[in-house]
Amino acid sequence: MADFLETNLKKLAEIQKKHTKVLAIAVILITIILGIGLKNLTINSDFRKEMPTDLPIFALNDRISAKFGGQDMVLIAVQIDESVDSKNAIRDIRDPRVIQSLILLDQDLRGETSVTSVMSPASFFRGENTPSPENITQTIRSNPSMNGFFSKNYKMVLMFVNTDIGSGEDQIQNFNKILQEHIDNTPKPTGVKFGITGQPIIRMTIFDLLKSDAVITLIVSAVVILLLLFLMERTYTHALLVFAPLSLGLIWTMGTLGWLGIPLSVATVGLSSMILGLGVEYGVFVLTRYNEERDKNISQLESMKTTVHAIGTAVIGSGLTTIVGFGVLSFATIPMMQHLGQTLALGIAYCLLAALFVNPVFILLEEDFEYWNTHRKLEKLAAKKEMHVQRVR
Amino acid sequence: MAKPLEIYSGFITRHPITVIFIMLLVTVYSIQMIGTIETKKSDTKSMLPNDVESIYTLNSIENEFGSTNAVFLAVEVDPTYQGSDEVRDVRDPRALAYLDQLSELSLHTEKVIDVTSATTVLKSINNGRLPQSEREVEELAGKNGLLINYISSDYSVSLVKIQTTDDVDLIEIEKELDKLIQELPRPPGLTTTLGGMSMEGAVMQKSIGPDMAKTSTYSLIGILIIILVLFRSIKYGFTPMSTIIFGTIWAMGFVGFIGMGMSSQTSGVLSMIMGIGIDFGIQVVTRYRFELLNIPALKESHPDLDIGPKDAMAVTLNNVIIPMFTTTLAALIGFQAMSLGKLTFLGDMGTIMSYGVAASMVAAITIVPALMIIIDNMNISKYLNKYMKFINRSR
Repeated sequence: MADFLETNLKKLAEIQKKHTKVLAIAVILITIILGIGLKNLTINSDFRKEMPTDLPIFALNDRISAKFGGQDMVLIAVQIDESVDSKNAIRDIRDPRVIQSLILLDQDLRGETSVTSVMSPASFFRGENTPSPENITQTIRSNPSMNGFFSKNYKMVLMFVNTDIGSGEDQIQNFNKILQEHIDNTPKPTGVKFGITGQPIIRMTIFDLLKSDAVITLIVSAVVILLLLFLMERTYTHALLVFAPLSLGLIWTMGTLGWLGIPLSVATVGLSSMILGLGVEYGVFVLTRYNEERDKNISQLESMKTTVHAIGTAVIGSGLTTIVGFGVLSFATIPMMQHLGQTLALGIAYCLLAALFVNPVFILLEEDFEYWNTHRKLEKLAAKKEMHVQRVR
Repeated sequence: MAKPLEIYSGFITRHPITVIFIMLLVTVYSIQMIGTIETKKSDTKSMLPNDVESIYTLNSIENEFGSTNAVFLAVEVDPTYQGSDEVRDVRDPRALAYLDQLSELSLHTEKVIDVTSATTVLKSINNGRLPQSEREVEELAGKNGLLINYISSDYSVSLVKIQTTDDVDLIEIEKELDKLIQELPRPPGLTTTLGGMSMEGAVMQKSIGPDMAKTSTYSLIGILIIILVLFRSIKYGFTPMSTIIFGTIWAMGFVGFIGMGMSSQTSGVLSMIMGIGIDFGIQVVTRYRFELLNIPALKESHPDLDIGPKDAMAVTLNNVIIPMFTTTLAALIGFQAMSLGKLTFLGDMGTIMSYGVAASMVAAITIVPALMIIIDNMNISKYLNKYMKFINRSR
């Protein structure tokens, strides 16, 4: 295999030297094609999908959730607001004013088509239009089972809202808006605050966090890695020469995920930072070795041949072992680990391809540009000098 | 930068045995520390940010309503024969009596603080008495809306909700409740299973060890195959493996030392560390072999110089340490960036991988060059001849 690799890597270096511009155009085209997939990239906020749902315990819990409506249940928590310092403020959540507020909210919510059932202390007053405070106090006393809705210190009361909003992010977002409007429109006594939570709401929160986290981790890691490359390589161009193919590898990975319809999830949200962190290695080794050869005054072609064949073998070995290390996570029990391993393996594979095929092309292009630019400047200076000499004469 | 590197490579190439000895001491201590690593339950709640309103509300509910370690026993109707006398409705008096016994006995289990079920609700609204017919249950259900929390609308499932203390060992309580399910006589047509979200964590906790063993073994085998094919040499194939063997031991030893523990999210780190860490070993060995190939030409052009494997290794180390250092730093940045988001599901994984990558890099610039020099300077044929002589004499 090593002989085969060495022979073909040398051939590859020759092709890269001979057809640098054609290869650069091919890279741009591939990036555009794969990059189009980026717009299909979606986010999956359902943490459940990252769990081993085929295990008996998960299957049982899902069955129970389906039967008892746990998955689409939204909780409204009415809590005493300790920060309110008023004589009229509620000090016991069983206060009839709180219950009256819940009764109104209960009536409102039951009118919503997406709400299948509502449970709270208000359920005990259905059919009564405006129960008097005495009536409320009496009902609470005579129904010990109502205590389940109140916290032990009577600072919080819960309202359970069962829904059939499904798992779509838009539906959850709309339902949350409707719920918030109902809460805002419900008359509330002084000193209590309403909070909304439950599986659908948390899923929506995770969805928003995933989006911001993916961007933050990508930006931070990209900036810091680029700074590190500037520091270590000591020139902007060298740092960019390592970073550019790496960025292409990342675009290809994300684009492929988009094309294949694989969403980003809690497991893969940090994918970009890991790919940037790990993929940088290949480019660094290729560039360092090429510069080392060029410093010996060896020609572009020979330097590239030595680099691609000497580093190529090591980089292919390194890349393959990393892919294996990540790929074996497909055998893990937890889908979260399986997805992480598979997407990282894909990312590393692309970074490896970028280092072997794109990095040398970029290095050669940069060197050619540098040569052309220096030559142009020299010609300009020479012309200027000639003009100067003629004027003096 | 060249000077300190040369001093370092000079030290490693001159004192390989000392380096190996020091690193072995570190390894022995690390192995001891690995023994202290504990597996921990994956707590999804702790990975969510508390400053987001819906999560803050959820945490407030849990603070006010006590422990969230709720498990349940699901009693499901599962008749075997058609037209038999088996229970077909969880409101059947036989099912209710069974549910009542389950509730009572569960309450006496250690670390259980409260048990609620359809029978506790029914008894509370029926003067402490269990209803004797499905119709009676229906009438009582009309009086109390809470029953729908315990009996499904199709009457096929009933739940016994068990609330435990915060410090409960879920694996232990699973054993206790399983024993209870096995020993308590069950009416025909019913099945009882232990469930609850917290039990999912316990099941995943149990899978951490086997998962780690499985993925790291596959990873090790896969990596070994690749480098043996790549280097086509037992010596150069196995030497880079020392990077990941020592690197993972040191990293896991450090995890044990700081008392971090392993969770289901971090169960895949070993295979990943191996996959990443081996790169350093491969880079060192590839470069070293490349430099060895240059020795005959150098000897020819400089016959007065005594050039050998030590010099090849010194050149190797001088040239690979800086790129390796850069890539290690970049990898660490990538891993640490994973903890920067508000969702820290993989934060611990990134941290352990940082330790692993750093440890692998250290192994690649200490153990690997030291081993290579010892092996390449060792006259294997001399030892083989001695061994053969010994064998012949003993015959």
